[in-house]
Amino acid sequence: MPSFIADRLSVGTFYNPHLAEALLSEGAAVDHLSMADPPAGDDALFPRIREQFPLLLHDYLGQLADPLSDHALERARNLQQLYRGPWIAEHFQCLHTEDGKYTLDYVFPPLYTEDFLRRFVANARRLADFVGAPLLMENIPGFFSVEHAQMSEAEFLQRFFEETGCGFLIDVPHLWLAAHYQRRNPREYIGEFPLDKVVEIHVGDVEDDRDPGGPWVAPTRPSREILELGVWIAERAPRLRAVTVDQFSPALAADVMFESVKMTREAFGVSRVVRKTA
Amino acid sequence: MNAGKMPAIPMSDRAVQDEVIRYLADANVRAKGPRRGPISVDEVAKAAQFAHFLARRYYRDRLARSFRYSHRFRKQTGRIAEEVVDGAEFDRFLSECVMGSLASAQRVGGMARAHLTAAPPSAAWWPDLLDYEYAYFLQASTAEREASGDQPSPGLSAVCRRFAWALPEMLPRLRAGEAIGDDLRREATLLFSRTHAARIYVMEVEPEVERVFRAADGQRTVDEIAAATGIPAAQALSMLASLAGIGAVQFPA
Repeated sequence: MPSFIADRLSVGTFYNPHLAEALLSEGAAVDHLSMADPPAGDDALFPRIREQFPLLLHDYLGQLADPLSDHALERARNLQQLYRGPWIAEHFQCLHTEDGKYTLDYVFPPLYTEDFLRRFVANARRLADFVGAPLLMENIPGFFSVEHAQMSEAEFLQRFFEETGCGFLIDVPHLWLAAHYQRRNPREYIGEFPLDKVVEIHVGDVEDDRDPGGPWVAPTRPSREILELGVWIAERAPRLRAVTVDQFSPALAADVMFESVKMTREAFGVSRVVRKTA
Repeated sequence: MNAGKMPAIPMSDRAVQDEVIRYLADANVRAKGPRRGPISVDEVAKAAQFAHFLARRYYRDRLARSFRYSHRFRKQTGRIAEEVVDGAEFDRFLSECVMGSLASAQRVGGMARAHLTAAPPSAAWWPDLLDYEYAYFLQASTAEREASGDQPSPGLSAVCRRFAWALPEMLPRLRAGEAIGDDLRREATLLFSRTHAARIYVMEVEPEVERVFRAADGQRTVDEIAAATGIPAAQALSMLASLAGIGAVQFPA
């Protein structure tokens, strides 16, 4: 299994199993792959993917608003033992009810309150300790506001990172959307977040969606605006190690995936290198 | 003491978050209006928009995963299952949808089956394929959990169905793009189920297993299931335990 790039930014994308063959034949185009799902039992190409690419654990490990079950912790540790990435990642989300009766099945932010901060801090520490790997946490956008918040998203994240020492996986389209729906300037909004904690950046784009009646996350090529915001963040993120194109969809085409990574490389000034294989 | 006025117990933040989640997932909760809930009147319309986005996304994703074999015939039919989430019938459904419930899964699955039945390719096995995909869709989209009763009962979304075609052999042929011949005309009984961990099982079952599954109706004891099926009690219990392992049967808690 290849090592994660240490001497420059690693530019990668998500592992979409239907594109495994294309990834293997154009391997040097992509530095790393983020794993949103465990490899399927019938994914015959995964062993070769694992040999050729550094992998990052970006699965749903559990919502850190609640304590993770022993089963969830074991699962996370087993996945990390399979991927052996330099870190694991989860989201600031709370998407199912405590009794498990309702789930939104989609990333959804918690209330930004002292109580939820305590919950996330405790449960994130337990997850990182159990798995034995640094934990990055990704921001999640809200579409509407709830009358219960005690602090801003930026303050919640700032305090979380200070208390846990976790790294920040900053999703640029998510922040752009949060700024958009709060009618804020994206750069001003993003500037309130702890960019010195950023270890990984997600880039992507948004498209108009009929239900929100405006833009929402879409697995398309990163836009110029999102890439420029990403570069602006990178200039303020001394711990930054990776940029990942956030495209995970069975409908994704290989040319879109490769073009998106190429655009990202160019925007961040990272050249393509030929991977040395054993 | 004023018995009519109980002091309000403040909700925990976690309980408030649960209220928001319920509001988004359950149209019946939204229909009651926000009143004293955590979503202000100004934000209610946006929350409802987001609820619709979540439901449309949830069912589109599961339709695509479940109706993937009929998708291969889109050139002949001019249709794919996930198109139904953009239709007028689905728009009406959004005001009644409880995301993840069995009833919602049945309704959306029914829309997809009707949509694909309306323009069938000339293949005698097409209805069987759609029934297979419908049963799979019920498993993929039913996250609802039912409290177990006093006796062994079927899993909420579990379905046992007899097919006129040999689906277990047909599906690999469809994946390989091969023709389906009359050699696959044989009866097959498939059991579809889902575990609490959301793992889906589809397996061909023997008549004894089918009988035990159908007899586990939530009313009969294990001995009564054994008597009703003519299977020794120890063997019936063993079968029930296996069925429970795949979510096809629930044992009393």
